[in-house]
Amino acid sequence: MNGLMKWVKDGNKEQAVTEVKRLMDRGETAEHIITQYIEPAMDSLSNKCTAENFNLLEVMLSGRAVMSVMQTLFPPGTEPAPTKGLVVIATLEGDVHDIGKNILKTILTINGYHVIDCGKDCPIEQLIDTVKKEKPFAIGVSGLISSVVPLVKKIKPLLQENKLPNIKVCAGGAALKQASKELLNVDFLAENAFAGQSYLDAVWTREQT
Amino acid sequence: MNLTIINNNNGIQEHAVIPFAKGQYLLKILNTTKEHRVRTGCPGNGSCGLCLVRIIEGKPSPPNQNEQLQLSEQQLASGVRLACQVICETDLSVEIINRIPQSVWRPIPEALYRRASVLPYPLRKRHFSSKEKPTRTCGVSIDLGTTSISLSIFDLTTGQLMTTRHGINPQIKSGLDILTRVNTAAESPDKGTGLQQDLITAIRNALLDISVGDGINPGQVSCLVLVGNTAMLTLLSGNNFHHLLHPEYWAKPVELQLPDTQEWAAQWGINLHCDIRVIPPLAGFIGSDLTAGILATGLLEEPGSLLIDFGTNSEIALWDGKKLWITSAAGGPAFEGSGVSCGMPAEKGAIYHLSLKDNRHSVIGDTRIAGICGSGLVDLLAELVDLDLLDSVGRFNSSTSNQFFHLSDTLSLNKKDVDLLQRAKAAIASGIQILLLQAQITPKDLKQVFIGGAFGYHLNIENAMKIGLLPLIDPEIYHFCGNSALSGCEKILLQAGTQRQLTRIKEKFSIVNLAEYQDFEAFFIENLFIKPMA
Repeated sequence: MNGLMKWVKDGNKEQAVTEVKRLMDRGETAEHIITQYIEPAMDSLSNKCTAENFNLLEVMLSGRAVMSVMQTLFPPGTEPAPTKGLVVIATLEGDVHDIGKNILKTILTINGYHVIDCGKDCPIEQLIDTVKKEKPFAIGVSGLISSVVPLVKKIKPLLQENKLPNIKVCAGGAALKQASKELLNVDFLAENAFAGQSYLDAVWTREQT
Repeated sequence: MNLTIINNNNGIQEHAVIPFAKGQYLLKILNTTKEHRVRTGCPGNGSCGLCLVRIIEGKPSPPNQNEQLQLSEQQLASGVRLACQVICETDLSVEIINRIPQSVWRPIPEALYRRASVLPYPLRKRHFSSKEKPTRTCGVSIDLGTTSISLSIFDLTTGQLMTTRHGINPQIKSGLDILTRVNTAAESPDKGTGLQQDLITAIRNALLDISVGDGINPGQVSCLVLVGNTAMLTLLSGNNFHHLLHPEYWAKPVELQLPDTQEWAAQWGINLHCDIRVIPPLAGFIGSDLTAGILATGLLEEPGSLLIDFGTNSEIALWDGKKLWITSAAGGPAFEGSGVSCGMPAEKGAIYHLSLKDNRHSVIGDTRIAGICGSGLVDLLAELVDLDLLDSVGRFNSSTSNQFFHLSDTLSLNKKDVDLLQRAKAAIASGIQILLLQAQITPKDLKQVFIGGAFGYHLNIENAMKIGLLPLIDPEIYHFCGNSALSGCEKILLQAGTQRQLTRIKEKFSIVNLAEYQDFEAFFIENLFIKPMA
């Protein structure tokens, strides 16, 4: 495994940034660095993160390393435009734990999605207002505590009411994972952030054809 | 059709046959019996993964999606299934892997039961006021916990302990955690009443068990004190539990609004004029079990005293001489053995100590190994890191068998287990650090640290410090205080002057809400590392 890939997978932010600077000095382009090192590293992590092998700290450290690499490649103001569609994400009202949502945000951003984050403890009205205004192709909600279940159930009917029936809803997080997608009335129930990303990838690809 | 239960009791095979009608769920059939029940933590929808059985003979419905998610390939291959998902179409032979212990109420094991350190008692005077009644009167103290209920009964004329009991909280069938139960109770008045009645019935059964087992007439009970977490107390009162679903109430007082307790007295068969005292909680997530623990440990007697009451939610209290800082850390039940594939509660058959280096382990009850309880899991993590088999991030060394550590043929720790333990540890450690920061006390300034909860009793403090669950300080200042909630409750029952102490706690406490704490996430991530606390 090449150096940068290893540092990203190990979540070693400092080494990853040092290595990316060296590659840039050598004249490698940002695009090349992303496709040759970063994406394979994330793919490899994603393949490793099955239900039995997920480790929060490992994923967070890799996510941070990738974010630092991206900031090194694209200093503020020079970020490339997202290549894929818009996703609105939120942790709903009553839940103030948003580590899961933040991981999803990192992974989606790295993969070229435009992500609008409604934050934690987000009232459902605010989520729907944002969706009405921004017209995303999908919504991602993450919940750690079971009191948000009734709110998640309301999302689809509210989208219907607002004549936005085609927006896909993807849910994840410790509390929601215990339920079923039928009970939650969502389109997809993700085991973890990577599963959420694969689902969105499939939907996005389908919508492009 | 017939269901044959095969029970391997210390090497002796026992069989029992239960007739059933074709097409039923296995869990439902098992639940019709008293002695062959399996543990559950959800309403039987495949989400908790606890109702493990092994199919030995017969052809049940094939494993469904829920089972494929909950069970490893290895388990599925060896016939392990979730009883709640198995539909019985033919005669079956099964082994119940995760049994519910048969008799629900048992005396609290000597080792886990520490009487309140208040003897000799300046006994409460009013118990002796009745001149015309020379008969014995008794007092009961009860700690209503999410997982288990503990009680002790005293002869109030002498202050002598008569006996103790503890048992599983029957509400467990409606969910393992507090929020699931409160959610259920809030769904309909019937469900709320059902959960309330679960608690009332449990107390009645415990008193009945004492009456049968120890010959103590419940009619002699003239005083009863109850403590518990806020969810249990509001579910018992039948009022205001729905507030707990809203985070804004977690750090706010919650009124109990008790109904007429004489009705409870009637159901419990105790003296109808019994003085029933339910000690109110301090806030939505700070119950009177913590108040009682603070009382029992005399926390407010020495500045620099810390109390950690381990549980699914661990309550932490720190006295700095002026303020009593309190928080609750939602670490989850990993240290109680729940959710961890090789985990189990600190019960018979649990490994409570282990050393890989010395190839030694100790088992509760010296019986066949059934799993590893919290203290054993702490030892295991510490040893794996020590031996370089696991790194501080929680990754198994690539030279070891990939994503598992096999302790034996049946016990293994996978990466997800390590992750769960890391999260539990990180939540508690962050709570401790944030309280210390609020009080401006450094770990080194701590004078005494009390460890409560069943998990604490067998805990190897050195290993707990190594993995960063507890602050790295002089191990001598750590004290195990057992079920401090029950000890404190006993103190309220028996000792004069406790009302003044309860008032003082109420005046001095200040709640830190970790969920709203600005830097919580930074603390949490730092504490996910398996290494001594910074």
